[in-house]
Amino acid sequence: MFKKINSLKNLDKPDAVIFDTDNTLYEYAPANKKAEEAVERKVKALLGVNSKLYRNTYAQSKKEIKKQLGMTASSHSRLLYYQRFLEILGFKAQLMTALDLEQTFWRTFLANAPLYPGVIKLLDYLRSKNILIAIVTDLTSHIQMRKLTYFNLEETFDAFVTSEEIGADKPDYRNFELVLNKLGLTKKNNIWMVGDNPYTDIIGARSIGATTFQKINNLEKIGEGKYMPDFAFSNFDDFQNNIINFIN
Amino acid sequence: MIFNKDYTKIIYLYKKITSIASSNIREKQLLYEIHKSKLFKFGLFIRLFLIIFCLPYIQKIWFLEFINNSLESLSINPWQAHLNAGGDIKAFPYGYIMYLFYLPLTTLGWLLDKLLNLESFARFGFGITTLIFDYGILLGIIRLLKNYSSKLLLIAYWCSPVIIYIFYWHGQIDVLPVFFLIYGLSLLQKEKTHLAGIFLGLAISSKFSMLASIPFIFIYLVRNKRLKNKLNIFFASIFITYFFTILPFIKSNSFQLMVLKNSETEKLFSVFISYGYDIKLFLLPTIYLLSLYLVWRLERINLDLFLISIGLGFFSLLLFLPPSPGWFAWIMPFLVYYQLRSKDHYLLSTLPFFFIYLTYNLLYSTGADISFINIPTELPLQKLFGFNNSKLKSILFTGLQATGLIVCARMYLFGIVRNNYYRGFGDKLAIGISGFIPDYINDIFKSFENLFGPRSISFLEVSDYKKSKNHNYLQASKSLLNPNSYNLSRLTKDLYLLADGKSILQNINNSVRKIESYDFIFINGIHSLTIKRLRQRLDLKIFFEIDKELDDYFFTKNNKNNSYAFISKSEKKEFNNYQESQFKYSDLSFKISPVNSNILKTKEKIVIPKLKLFVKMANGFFHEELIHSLISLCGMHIDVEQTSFSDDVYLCIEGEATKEDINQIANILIPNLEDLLICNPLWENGYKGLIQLIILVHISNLLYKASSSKNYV
Ligand SMILES: [Mg+2]
Repeated sequence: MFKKINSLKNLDKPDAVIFDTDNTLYEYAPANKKAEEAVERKVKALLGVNSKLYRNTYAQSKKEIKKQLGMTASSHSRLLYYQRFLEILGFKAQLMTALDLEQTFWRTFLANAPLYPGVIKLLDYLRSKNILIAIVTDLTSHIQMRKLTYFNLEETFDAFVTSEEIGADKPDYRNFELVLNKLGLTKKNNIWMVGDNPYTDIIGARSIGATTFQKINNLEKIGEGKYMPDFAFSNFDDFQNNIINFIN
Repeated sequence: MIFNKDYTKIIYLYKKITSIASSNIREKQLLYEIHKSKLFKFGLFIRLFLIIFCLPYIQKIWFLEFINNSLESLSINPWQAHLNAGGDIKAFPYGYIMYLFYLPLTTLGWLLDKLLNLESFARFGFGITTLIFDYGILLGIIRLLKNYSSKLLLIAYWCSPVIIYIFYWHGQIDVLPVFFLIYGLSLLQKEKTHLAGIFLGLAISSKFSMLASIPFIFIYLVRNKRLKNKLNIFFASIFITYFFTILPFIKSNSFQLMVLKNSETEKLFSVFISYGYDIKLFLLPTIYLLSLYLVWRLERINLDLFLISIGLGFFSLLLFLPPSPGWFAWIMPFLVYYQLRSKDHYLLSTLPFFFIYLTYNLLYSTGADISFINIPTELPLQKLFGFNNSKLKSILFTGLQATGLIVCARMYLFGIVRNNYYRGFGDKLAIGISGFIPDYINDIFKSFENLFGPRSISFLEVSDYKKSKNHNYLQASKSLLNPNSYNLSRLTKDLYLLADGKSILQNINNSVRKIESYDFIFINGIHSLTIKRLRQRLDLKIFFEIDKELDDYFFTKNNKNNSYAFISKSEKKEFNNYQESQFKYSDLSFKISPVNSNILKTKEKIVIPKLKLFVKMANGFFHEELIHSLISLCGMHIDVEQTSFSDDVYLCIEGEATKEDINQIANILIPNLEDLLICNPLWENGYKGLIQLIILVHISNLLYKASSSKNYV
């Protein structure tokens, strides 16, 4: 599926295409679920904490960290969640355990996160047409770099920005300005943004005047009102087939 | 909304279902490729076309009639109902499970027919049921083999004229037991033993002749270290499933008459050689036993081999049965499997067989009634055209059996003699590990038993071959490094004996020890790589080095294997020569160093410091994947040194890896890992685990190379 949402927008060959990472290049939910289950099993084995207690306490620690840090990269940090989780349960500073749980999480996560079909083909295609490609993503740099390395994309992009670099998550405009900066482009250039989240990717990219594409997974809704993307698509093959005419 | 909500919901649900069917990433990719493929759509189109417009004769007179009779009388015992209604006794020689699975959609269609006063929907329902399980077989094959191209799979199975002919033109319903069998096997492979047993039980319950696969499965399980301990559960669950699905009708006369005593069972004894007046040699049991024996004789069976051998077993049965087109459906998934394994060789040997099979059966077996053409196409073509040449029939039949026999022979030669992914361990794999190895590290080699299983490794220690005390006139230092102070020719001889499959006797301190010959032979000690003749038999040569600074930590001062003891200049020089030569001989070398050397000097207490691992291995092999995995999955730090003209690459690895990390990376780096290791392999933590992993990748590569370079007939 590829659909024009904003009838006023017309496509032209872009100077750069910016991609979100999580849930845009790969499906987030199943990987996250598998990883959290693995942590849950480990917590049970290591600390004898049952599932119910784990889930409640973990939710609480997540809430606390998010509240404490606001919309920043480290507010997504599993390490902080697990540290707080152990503290709430009265385990004090069990640093090794926190590190171990974090590692268990990401190891399992990556092993269950396949790139969406067509991503590699699309990136290769854009590069072959001399279009710059970049990443703008929330979360801390270390894990996002590990992810891209896992996908064998560590040398693919022309620029890479995480919200850790500017201290605030998308939709903060500084994320997008920084990536333009790194690419050596300005707002006057024709920029495309591809992301799954209307509330961060789509509205955020509008701050630099980008043409926005929402990747729709399963039952997700297309943004409406001020969150409305210019285009929506459900898989990268369709995306590529539909943009090919405008690029050639 | 820009696209239909219900539609997305259906897609979402479908994704959920197929994701249960395929948890693995590679399986998901294959599924995606398959669903997108034009070949898939083509195969689906043909099937739907045939379901809608053609009614196979046997479905008309037997299966649909049978279900119809049972529905009309609303009886729980469909066989009784059918016989009461005066139905054909041959109509449904299958178990209750077959009936139950075909019932829902057929009933739905039957009700629609009643409402609309038509006679189409019941058969659509019946045909769609076949289609569902036909698709299920495709999924089952995907679950079993992940490493092959989707296109080949679609050509070999989904678009196979034989499959389409059997299920949609001739109209047999063996699709259900075959589906249960294939799915059961894939579950077995994933160690879901209970479920696998239930599926196999259902297979036998729906068609009793599926029992023929059980002895092959038994052999596979007995031989498979990983699955061996699940034997009881598996067979218990088969038996219980079979028992409970057959029990309700076992006493019914009609069931006995139509199913248990059906003429299909008698076919088993219909081909024989007569030995005079009243003695017959029944060929089928003979051949079946022979093929079981051949499989039993295999040294080690893995999944590939096992699947091909079941197919071969079935195939050899079919060759000695009177022609029965539906039964060929059983061997098709296995033939597909074989085709994917042997690629180009396949077509040549199977095309004649498929061609004659189709010709023969189109001529002499019933077909289907095409709704828009007024010709009795459901008749065998031979009747339709009205020619009757019994000689032609016999010639075609002979051709069919002969080409079938050739396919069997090819399957045996390619699949079984040539062996499969990892060579059948007919040859032992010998690994030499040299260097001054502290006990602490030595455990790593012992720990390979936690991966390969007990009784899989023969260990030889060079130090056990030290010449006896009578040779005490040798200098103390010389006695360590000098190869002459070891009985290396004896060691070499023992290695060759073990590699030959013979056990050896060691005489150490006047006590005799017997070492059995197992799949792997590890030779361990400072002179494992010193002699050429020894090196020649070693498949993998490993050299170990411990940073000098770590001597304090690893060796106690009066240890016999202490490199620390070399103090004089000449000794040091000799020691360096030794290190250099062993390093040069090795294919793979490890060096363990402290992360930070300055700290060591000030430390007084002996605590093992943080370590890093240097690895030398062949360039262009797997180090890039290894580095990727270590960095992305474990967050480790790695330096790579790769001089452009060198055959070797040097890695420096630093960081903590847990045994779970190692396990996961092993699954990524080593294809068909489950064929190589035991059920729950126990990896080591940290750099020990890394060493295990790197050695194991080398081993798997050696075994693979050996199997792919082996000549076959
Ligand atoms: Mg996202």
